[in-house]
Amino acid sequence: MMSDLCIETKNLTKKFGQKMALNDFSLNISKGGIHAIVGSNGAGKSTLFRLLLGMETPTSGHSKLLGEPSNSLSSKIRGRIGYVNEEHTLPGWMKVDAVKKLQQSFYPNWNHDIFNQVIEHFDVDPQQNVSALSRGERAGFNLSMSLAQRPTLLILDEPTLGLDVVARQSFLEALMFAETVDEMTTIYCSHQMEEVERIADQLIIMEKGCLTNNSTPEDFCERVNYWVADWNVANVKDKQIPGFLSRRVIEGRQHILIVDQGNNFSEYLHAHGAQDIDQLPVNLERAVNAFLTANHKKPVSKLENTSC
Amino acid sequence: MLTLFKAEFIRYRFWAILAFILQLFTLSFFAKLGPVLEPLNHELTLLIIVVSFAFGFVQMTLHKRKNHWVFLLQRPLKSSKIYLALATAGMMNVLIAVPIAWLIIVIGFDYFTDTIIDMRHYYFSLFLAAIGILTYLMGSLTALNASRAAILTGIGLFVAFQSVSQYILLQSSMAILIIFYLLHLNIASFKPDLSQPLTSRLSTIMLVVPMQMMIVLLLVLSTQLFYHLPKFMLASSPSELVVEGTIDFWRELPAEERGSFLLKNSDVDNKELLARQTELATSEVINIYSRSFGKKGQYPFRDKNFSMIDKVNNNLWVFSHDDMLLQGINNKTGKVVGWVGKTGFFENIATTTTKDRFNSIPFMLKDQFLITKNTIFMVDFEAKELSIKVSIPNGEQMIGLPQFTEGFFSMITHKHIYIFDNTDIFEKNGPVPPAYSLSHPTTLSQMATIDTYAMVDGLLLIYAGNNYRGFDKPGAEIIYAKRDGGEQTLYKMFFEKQNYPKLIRHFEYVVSPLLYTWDATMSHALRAYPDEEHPITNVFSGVMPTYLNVVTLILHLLSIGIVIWVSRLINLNTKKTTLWFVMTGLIGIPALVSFFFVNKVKGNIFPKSVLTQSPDEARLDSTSR
Repeated sequence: MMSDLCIETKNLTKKFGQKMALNDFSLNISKGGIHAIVGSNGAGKSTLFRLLLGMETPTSGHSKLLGEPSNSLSSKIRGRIGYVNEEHTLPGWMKVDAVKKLQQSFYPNWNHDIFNQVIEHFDVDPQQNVSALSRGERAGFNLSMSLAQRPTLLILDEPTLGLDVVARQSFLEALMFAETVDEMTTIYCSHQMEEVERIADQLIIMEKGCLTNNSTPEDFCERVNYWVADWNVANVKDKQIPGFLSRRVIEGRQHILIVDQGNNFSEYLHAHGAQDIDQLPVNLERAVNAFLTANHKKPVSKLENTSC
Repeated sequence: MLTLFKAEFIRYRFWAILAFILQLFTLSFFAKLGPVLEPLNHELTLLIIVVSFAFGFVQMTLHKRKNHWVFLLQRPLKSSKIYLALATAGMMNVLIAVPIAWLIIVIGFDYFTDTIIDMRHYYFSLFLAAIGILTYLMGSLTALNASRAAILTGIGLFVAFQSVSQYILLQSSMAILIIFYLLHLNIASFKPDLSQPLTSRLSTIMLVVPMQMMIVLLLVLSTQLFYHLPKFMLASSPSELVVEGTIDFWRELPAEERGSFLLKNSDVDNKELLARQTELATSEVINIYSRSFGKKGQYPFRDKNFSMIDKVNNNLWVFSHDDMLLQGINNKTGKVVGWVGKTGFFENIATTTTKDRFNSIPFMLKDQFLITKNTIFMVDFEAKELSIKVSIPNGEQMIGLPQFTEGFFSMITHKHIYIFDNTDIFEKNGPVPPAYSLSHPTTLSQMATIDTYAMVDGLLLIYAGNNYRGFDKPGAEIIYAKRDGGEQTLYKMFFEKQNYPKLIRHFEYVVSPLLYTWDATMSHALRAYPDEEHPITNVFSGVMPTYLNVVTLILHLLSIGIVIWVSRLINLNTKKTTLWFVMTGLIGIPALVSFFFVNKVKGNIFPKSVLTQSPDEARLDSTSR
């Protein structure tokens, strides 16, 4: 029976010497949509990709990509996976056109239209040497080639890192265009929350090698609540506040972000002497940043066997 | 695959062409300085070894960078095909950079000058190509294999290839075999996760076996660390404190005392007189194993003393391996002036017959002598005459080259030592009888040196060696050869004590009796002196002391035990554990060392202590448990 899952990992653990890069990581991702993976530096995102692609061997646990075990991916499956990394590694000694022909030769289903439509977002001269391209042009060229392969699974590992606003904008537009053309699963890893907010169907958060969230961005925003109150917190330590993420004092009022406490948190505030309590909407960027910052400082509570 | 090959080929094409042009200019320049590129052969070979290795290593290391590696592997092509595309491109670049320049120069000399160009000069370009590709694949393997010790495998194979370099056909076959061997290992190492050891048992065996002799060498060198260095630091090193009564003590004595040291113990009546004479006499040492003769068709970089200069007529005489004649060329005109065969001078090569040609490659000495394995010829370029100075009796074969010393000229055959007066050799016409002709007092393999003392009415010879009385039993023997032909053994001394303990002296045997035997057998096979006893008899004739055999057995069993224990710790499967069990059982400690080299032992065998973990890590560990 064909699996509906694009990515499956079970109890995946990877240690590098004394450092734990992935810790008992279990995640299932079904086919279709854009799945954003966010996490602070060293959260284990790149390690996860390398394990999925079979470039590293896990210390324990196992993973599958498009139904095949990662440690023995066939060349056929590899041909169905597109991969774009933050360095946009391309043969710098070749001309753009030659690199395109090189990649094209491996993919019988190469789609010229997609390539041309994506590349036109970027000002790339086919006769230029790849090493002479700007970072943004290289990113666009790399994305064009990855999309023209018509992959079933496209992995983008921080592809907009170091790009200026214009290049980033072009990149995202090209990506969203492609998503509408072909049915594929996209795994998008980024630190740019406004990008994630704009394109992601699913939000996966990793911290210290653990999975801490796997939901839609909207669901995640609902998990995080933003409270404002007049409150003397002298006798209450931050870590005693349930679901505490962050607290700031603005114009004498306490601004508190908490997670997984629902609307009942107002009762807690009342009970602890807070007055004039308001709940404000919270955007994804703020919610994720607070979530990541708080998790970075304290032990991580994992999500188990999450499927989306 | 072809497109990947093209892309990779283009990447290094510029550098390959640049190397080719530089080599062409350098060879052209140096070709004019000496006979047929002789001054550069060795340096060229060394340069090719270093550069090709570095190229293979750098090429694959550049691909190994994390994101580059994913870009390379993440395509619908088997990893073996990806490697073959890259390696073929690399080898093509090596072929452009390495042998073509040499070939062009050789063809140029062959067609446009009278310089001797043999087939071996053409073959040499193939040899250079083989060296370039072999070392390129060694570099590639070192970069790709999970174990850095793979370099030892490459070196082991290269040593095997080099050790038969005097036999072109054997070496060519070996080159092809080793290239495929290394290709297989490279393909097996070229896999998505480069940090993992080789999976197949065949590949593991292929990786491990050639590195064994290199590990033995490293283990023998390790005695410097655990024995020689501490002894040196404690000022008790046997090399500094030579023990009296040992052969080393005797060897350390000044030449004028060595003779009298032995003579004082002899029973001969005139020992004091002889001892005094040796103290005043001129002393010379003859080495038993001196340089060997050239082989027909040998590579040009082995050519030494293969030409003679006729200063009077300004001619250069060079030996042609194809014609087996010496060809003379005038330095000024570049024209051929004649040929020399074993029967004399010839104006025209067409007039020579098979019997005029040499049967083996002669060694040339002092622009005057042509020395073959059984004859010494003297050449008179002015008179255009060739005379036989010395002929060795039938059935005898020269061991190494004759040696000139200040006082005499000596030749060692596998049966005799012949000593001639220098005056006779250089000045007398016609055949010269030896001044002394002595049978060897023991077998060749038991002797190492012969000290000589010029006495009033003869020559005193001291034969000595570490195995003079048999395996590992040093000794020395004094023989007095008189001018009138008589010879007398004056004294035999056997040294009971040794400077170094047996464990250190026979450390190679202790670490692996099998490899010790293999090493001795190979050296014997390549040296191949007639009538020499096979070294394997030493191993199986009970010559090693019992305690050494016990130590060897204990270390062997210990190695097997460690391999089994660690295999279980690192969860090696049964088939691989059995493989390592068998290899360690056969080879001993070197196999154990290679087990640690090629398996991922670190981190598995010594689990991280909880005490060394950070609080975060400890928490994460407990969570995962």
